[in-house]
Amino acid sequence: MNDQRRAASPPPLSLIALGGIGALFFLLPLVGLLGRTPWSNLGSIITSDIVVDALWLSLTTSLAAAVLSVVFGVPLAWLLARVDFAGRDVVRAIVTLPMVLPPVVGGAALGFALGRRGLIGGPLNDATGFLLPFSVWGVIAANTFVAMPFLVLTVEGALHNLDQRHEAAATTLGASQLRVFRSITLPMIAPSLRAGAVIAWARALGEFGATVTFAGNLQGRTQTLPLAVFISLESDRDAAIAISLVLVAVSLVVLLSLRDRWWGTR
Amino acid sequence: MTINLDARMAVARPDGFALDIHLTIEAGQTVALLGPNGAGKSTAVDLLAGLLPLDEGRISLGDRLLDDGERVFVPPAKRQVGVVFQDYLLFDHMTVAENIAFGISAGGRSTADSITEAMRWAERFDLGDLANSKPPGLSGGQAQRVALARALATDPALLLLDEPLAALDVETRSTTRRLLGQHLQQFEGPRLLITHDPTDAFLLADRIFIMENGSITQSGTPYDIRTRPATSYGASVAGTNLMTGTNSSGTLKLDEFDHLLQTSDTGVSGEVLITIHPRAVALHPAQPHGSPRNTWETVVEGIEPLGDTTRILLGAPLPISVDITPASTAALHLSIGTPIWASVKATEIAISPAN
Amino acid sequence: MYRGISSLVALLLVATACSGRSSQQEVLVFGASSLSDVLRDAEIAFEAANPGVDVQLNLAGSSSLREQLIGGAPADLFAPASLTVMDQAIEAGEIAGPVTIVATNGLSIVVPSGNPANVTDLSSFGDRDLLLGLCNPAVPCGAFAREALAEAGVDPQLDTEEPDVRSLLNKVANGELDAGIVYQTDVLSAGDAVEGIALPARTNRSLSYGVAITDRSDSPELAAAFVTFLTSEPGRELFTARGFAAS
Repeated sequence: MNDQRRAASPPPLSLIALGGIGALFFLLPLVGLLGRTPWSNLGSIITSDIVVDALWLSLTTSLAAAVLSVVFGVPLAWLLARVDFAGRDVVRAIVTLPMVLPPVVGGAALGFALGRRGLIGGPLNDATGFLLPFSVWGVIAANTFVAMPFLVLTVEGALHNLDQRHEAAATTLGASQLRVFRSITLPMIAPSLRAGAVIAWARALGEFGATVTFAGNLQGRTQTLPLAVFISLESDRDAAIAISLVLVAVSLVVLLSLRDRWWGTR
Repeated sequence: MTINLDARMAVARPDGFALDIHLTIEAGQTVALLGPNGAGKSTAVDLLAGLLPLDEGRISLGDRLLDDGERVFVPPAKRQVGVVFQDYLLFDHMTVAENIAFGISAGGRSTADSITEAMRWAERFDLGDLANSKPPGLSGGQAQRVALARALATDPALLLLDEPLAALDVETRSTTRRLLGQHLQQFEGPRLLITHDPTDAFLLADRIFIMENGSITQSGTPYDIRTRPATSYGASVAGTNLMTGTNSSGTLKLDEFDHLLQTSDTGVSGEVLITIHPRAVALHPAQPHGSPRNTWETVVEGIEPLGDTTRILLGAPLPISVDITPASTAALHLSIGTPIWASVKATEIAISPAN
Repeated sequence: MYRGISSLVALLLVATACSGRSSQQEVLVFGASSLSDVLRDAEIAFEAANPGVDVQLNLAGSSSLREQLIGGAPADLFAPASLTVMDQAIEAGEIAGPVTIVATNGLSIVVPSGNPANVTDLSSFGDRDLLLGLCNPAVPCGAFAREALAEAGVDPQLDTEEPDVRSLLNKVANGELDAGIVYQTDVLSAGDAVEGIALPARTNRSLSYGVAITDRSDSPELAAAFVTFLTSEPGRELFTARGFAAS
């Protein structure tokens, strides 16, 4: 009843106008992309080895990055939100640095840490011969580096907003901190956690600069869709636009389907 | 061994509020900590439950020392203090059975075992049909029973109830309070009831501690509190009208007065204790029209200023206390002997079995 | 992306340059990244010799510059890294004047300083155990390097195909890669971090840098003067100082 009444009064014109311009700002580039798409040979381009390899690599590495972001990012967010340790503000700032840093700089910095002559990568390579750059693991590392801050910020915000009395109630029932975290905290922040994971995944899917700087570019091994687009821009504009379209389509399909299932009315 | 609570608790909050109280409760006894909002009652709950450490003092439960403000601090998970929180704080993502089982499995039992045990508690608290429901669908009374079952299922050594009735509708409060009283009998340890409502204290507690501004200002049996109030807050509490009578289908026949009252609580018949909060009574210059089922004509027999309220003592047929604002007193031109009409809603008349 | 950012910045510079044209004589040069250093040197020298003249540089990858030109960006001079790109611009009708060859360059194997992997010559690019990179075939340095490897009969075992010569050079300089193939001038510009290994003349093509006045130039005389300067003795010295062979 209340909903009907609210729907009956139209939203303010000024908000419609400004919001509409905001929407057009995103819609028009998409229309432009569709307008320039080489529809006649689209099929052959998007079924080419380059695109199929890049699509598969993009999907697997972005998913892996989202999973790693959850595995390491959720505990990190919990520490930042709940444990009052020295230097917490500094740690938080460093964690969010990849959001403001140009990804190329991030990729270079990753190289200094995990590359063949990096702080950790060097000794690791000497001892085991394992090397992150120029491998799919390097792509995943670069993706996780740029994606995880989004998850950490989302989850930390949710933890701050959570009414901690439920957690207190659980401890009076004899539950350990770890059990409270697992059985009470995580389920209660689940909507934010899912949203954060989706944002992290989306960021990883579109990641370019850190990947090419840290992991290089080789078809089938490290060339993700964004890298394929960039390389194609140098030689074959039509191919670049077609590959961009694949990236857009995959992103939209995933975001729309997850939105229904995960971000519906709580 | 009789487990009893001996808690001397002192703590200062950053906002300048300081609490310094001494509570003792024997096993099987219900003590009410009664005070106005802001008296520090919830801080007392946090201190006893281990959610807040003592600055100074000593909390012992049976032969266990829980907190001495210095070296000893038993964390909440190891205190064996069951708490029914204000608003109950049920876990909305779990079923009723899972809520009750949570503390059982946290104590080391297998999940299957815990659920079986939880089902027994659910049956005992008349929640069997709701075992697979989630808390958002429960009524206030049901949620309170889940919270109580969840706390008792952990086999606690002390039971804390923080405003267990405040979240309920006036209509169901009296019934739920009586049920709560029955369920409390199942717990043999010390029981502490935190409330701002004198009715809860008078109907459920064996002893009452009155707490104001972080200190205990008076303690004693409900009879002591009623007959010898020590502060103006105590006096307003003492003004709570307490009578005995017989209930038959919502009609109350009073033992001491020749008057019938209507209550919406028909859950108990026979001999009952009856309370009417002094602020629940309205005074009118002429016979009121409309809904109240209890209206009667009487005269003013006494007027006592009590700080921000004025207590009016009514005469026959029902000599009860009524608290109204000084402004209303003036507007009604009240003085000793003024004829007046009194009214009380049937939902405001609380009863419990008289035994 | 970083190249995208730099071309965006360049476009902003171009825009500001256009707004100030009335007060000063300006010549706007669209130059390939590999010409960055020498064009900056030339800008300083030319402006010193011609008071009141302002040389503006828009430095980016050759293909990007070509796309900007075709997209209508204002430029007086076009100086790409390959004559193929120049031909594409001519075909698109963007070039007015003749193409003047100002310098030549060659390819070089580049290794981290000290050559830790003991790379010897082009045959090392067939070694699976080394970490090897080239430019992507879509950019000139990648195409040229593949021609050289094909000439030498080597099937390269690559770990990466970098989108441009700078990122390839960086990965070698950082020691991430054991070897790459870049321009001779790049080896010089990277300083002590890398060493060059010359390619035999047989496999090394001479790559020519051509400069031409654009069809839309507002000041073709000034542009012609700048080209003349580049081919003069002081101009040739600037090229040789940066490792080019002046023509």
